[in-house]
Amino acid sequence: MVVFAAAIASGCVQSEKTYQVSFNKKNLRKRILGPDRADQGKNLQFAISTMISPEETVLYYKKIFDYVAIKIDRGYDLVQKNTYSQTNDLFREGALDMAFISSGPYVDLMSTSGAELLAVPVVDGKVTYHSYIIVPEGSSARSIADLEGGSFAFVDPLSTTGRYYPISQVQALGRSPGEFFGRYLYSYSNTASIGLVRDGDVDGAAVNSLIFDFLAMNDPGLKSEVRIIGVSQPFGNPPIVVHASMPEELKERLREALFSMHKDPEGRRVLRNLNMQRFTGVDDSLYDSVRMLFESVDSYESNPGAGAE
Amino acid sequence: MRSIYAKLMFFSLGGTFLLALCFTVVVHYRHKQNLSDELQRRGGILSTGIAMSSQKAMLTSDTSRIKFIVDLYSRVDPDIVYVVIVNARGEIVYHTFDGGFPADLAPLLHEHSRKSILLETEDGFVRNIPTPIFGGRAGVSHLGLSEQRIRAQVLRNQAVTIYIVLFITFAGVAVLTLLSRSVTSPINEVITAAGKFGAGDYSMRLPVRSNDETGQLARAFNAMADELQLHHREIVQTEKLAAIGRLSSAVAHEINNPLMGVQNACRIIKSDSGLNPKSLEYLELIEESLGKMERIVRGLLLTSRERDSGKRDFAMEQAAAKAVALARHAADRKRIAIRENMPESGCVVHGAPERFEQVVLNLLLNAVDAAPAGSVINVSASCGHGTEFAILHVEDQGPGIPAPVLEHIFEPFYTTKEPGVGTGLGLYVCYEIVSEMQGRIEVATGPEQGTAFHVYIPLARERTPSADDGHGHIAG
Ligand SMILES: Nc1ncnc2c1ncn2[C@@H]1O[C@H](COP(=O)(O)OP(=O)(O)OP(=O)(O)O)[C@@H](O)[C@H]1O
Ligand SMILES: [Mg+2]
Repeated sequence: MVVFAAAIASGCVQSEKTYQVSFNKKNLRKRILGPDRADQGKNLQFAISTMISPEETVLYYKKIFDYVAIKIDRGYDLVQKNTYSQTNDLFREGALDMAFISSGPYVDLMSTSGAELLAVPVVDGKVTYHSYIIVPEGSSARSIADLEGGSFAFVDPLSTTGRYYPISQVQALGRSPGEFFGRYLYSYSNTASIGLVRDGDVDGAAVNSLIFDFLAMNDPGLKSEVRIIGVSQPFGNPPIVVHASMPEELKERLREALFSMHKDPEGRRVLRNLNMQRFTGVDDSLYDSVRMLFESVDSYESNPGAGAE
Repeated sequence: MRSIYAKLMFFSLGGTFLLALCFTVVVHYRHKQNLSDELQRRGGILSTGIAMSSQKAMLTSDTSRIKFIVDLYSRVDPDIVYVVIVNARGEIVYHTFDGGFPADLAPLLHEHSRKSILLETEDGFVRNIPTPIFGGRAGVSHLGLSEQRIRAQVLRNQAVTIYIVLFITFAGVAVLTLLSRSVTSPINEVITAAGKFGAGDYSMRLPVRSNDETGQLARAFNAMADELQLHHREIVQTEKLAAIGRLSSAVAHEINNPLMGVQNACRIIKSDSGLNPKSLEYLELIEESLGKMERIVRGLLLTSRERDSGKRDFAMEQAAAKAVALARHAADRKRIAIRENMPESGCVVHGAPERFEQVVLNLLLNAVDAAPAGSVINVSASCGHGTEFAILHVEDQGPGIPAPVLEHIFEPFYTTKEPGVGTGLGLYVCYEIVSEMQGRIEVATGPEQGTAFHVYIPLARERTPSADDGHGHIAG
């Protein structure tokens, strides 16, 4: 009986396997937990600017890169940053090989360094998208003019649809956003802005129509809670750019992979999930409307009141 | 194991100890399990917290934010030994070890990125709890949680339970000791008392301390001792009286013949007329003394010699009445009244009536001697229904018999009276005669109540011829 009890007791105390580890034997240089990989450091660096949250980017847009990487038979690392300009900065530093960026960052990037426009997604047969001015369903606002004194969410300082367009609308009223809106903030992603409006945390926001429509497609409830009160002129779709220094041969392989994506069942499936039909090549002039918008907004800001007179 | 105490001790202590041991084992196991579950839960919460809050920072490679989050979390709980954040490629993004990453730990974390494992380190046991970040797409957060504190707590708790067990055991010993003492000590007392009693200390009695079984035992022992002591005293008395009786009657018998010869010689000398008056006077003194000696000798011989003479059934109250008549003369002289209360129907007993008269007379004379002038002596006889004895009562209003005297009154030649007044044979004779009649004498005496002698004589049985008739009937 005593022996039996003792056996139980000791069995309970030491039933789990333990692993001997010394905390004193330190390794200064090793950074990989597992065995070192031969291709370490040869991965391509692909970035996606956060039009949607980093998590959603991984779930949705990353699939395009996964597909492409397999097609060209190269490993890649997905790079995400919190803001558009951070991604652009990395690109300028040469730390990125390829990036899927929004139209605003594209225009910004092209103005300073050698990025090359590789492909643009075709959505609903078009290569352009819009800015939507959205308000909560219960809002009485009929246009952005009705949002005076209210709170407003911008997406990113470099966002065409999420910042430049609504500011241009405010400027058209002869006002600057600082005095027009009671309060405004940057959400750094379209989905975050949509969420803020949906939850009534802000009185209005401006968002990427592609992303709004994509979310509305997957979540029918969205349109009953968020109302669109304004639609902008068309802008060129967010493009995929490559670094100008990339070998021509690699550029070609990447372009080929993207352009033929819709011909491949697997590629088609990826595209369909993102509500895209295919990738196509376009001329940089597609983004002139964006450039014009940027110029007008920036010049108004440096010389307020000039546009109104 | 010879004593009840030892048996009680062995079984109850053994039982207590085993019970306590089982209790300890169960408590220890439950406690350890609870603490370990609690640690797992806590570690899980912390690890999940780190994983979730670092999710976005991991996806955007925001190392400074990861460092901020991890440093924040590692301050939340003192049991956190380390936090290691690994990205989806298995690269260590951030860790909290000072001066490099432990070489042994890297392959273990790589291998066990889904399940928690227990590490044995220089700093004691550490549980590694991995949590995937964003479903593993953004990497894994490893949390090292020290088990030292809960192990110490388990040990402390174990010590407490052991103290409790020891306490229970010792308390058990104490309680049992007291309990078994209360049972065995009266038994031991009885054993000692019985030993002393057996060795001859008939006054040995036990103290009665309670009303429970041990008290009853003591009481029963005392009752038995009382009974035995009484019996013993009676036997001793009877033996003593028998021995004295045999001796004195032998002496009386030897003296009797020479005494008779001397008396005859005295009478012959006396019949000689030529004696001078002085010699005659001395001769008469000799005769008187011889007469006294003869009375004593006859008294003693009475008890043995004439034992079987003239036995018959007689009415006890009639014999008593005769004795009263003889005693009345002496009573009258002291102005003492003798009140008789005899039953109508006769109390028939078997024996020599003259000898029974002697018994009653002796008792009456003693009563007259003891009673103060002007008092009353009651004499009564009874033989109620359903009794086997006829009883004669002689009650006086005298000073009673003190205890030291009472012990000896039936012995021959014991007297408290002046020499020459009493010979001390009166009650001895009574005793002998009553014993011969299969009866007994009881004395009830006290300084206030006077003295009462009760003489019990078995009633004579009348023989009936009915037995033969009954036999005939059955035969016919
Ligand atoms: N009724 C009584 N009251 C008080 N004492 C008594 C009584 N009967 C007897 N005794 C005591 O008992 C003693 C013994 O009595 P017992 O009759 O044997 O001898 P006695 O009376 O002294 O002498 P004897 O009867 O031979 O002349 C007495 O001496 C007396 O002390
Ligand atoms: Mg007498």
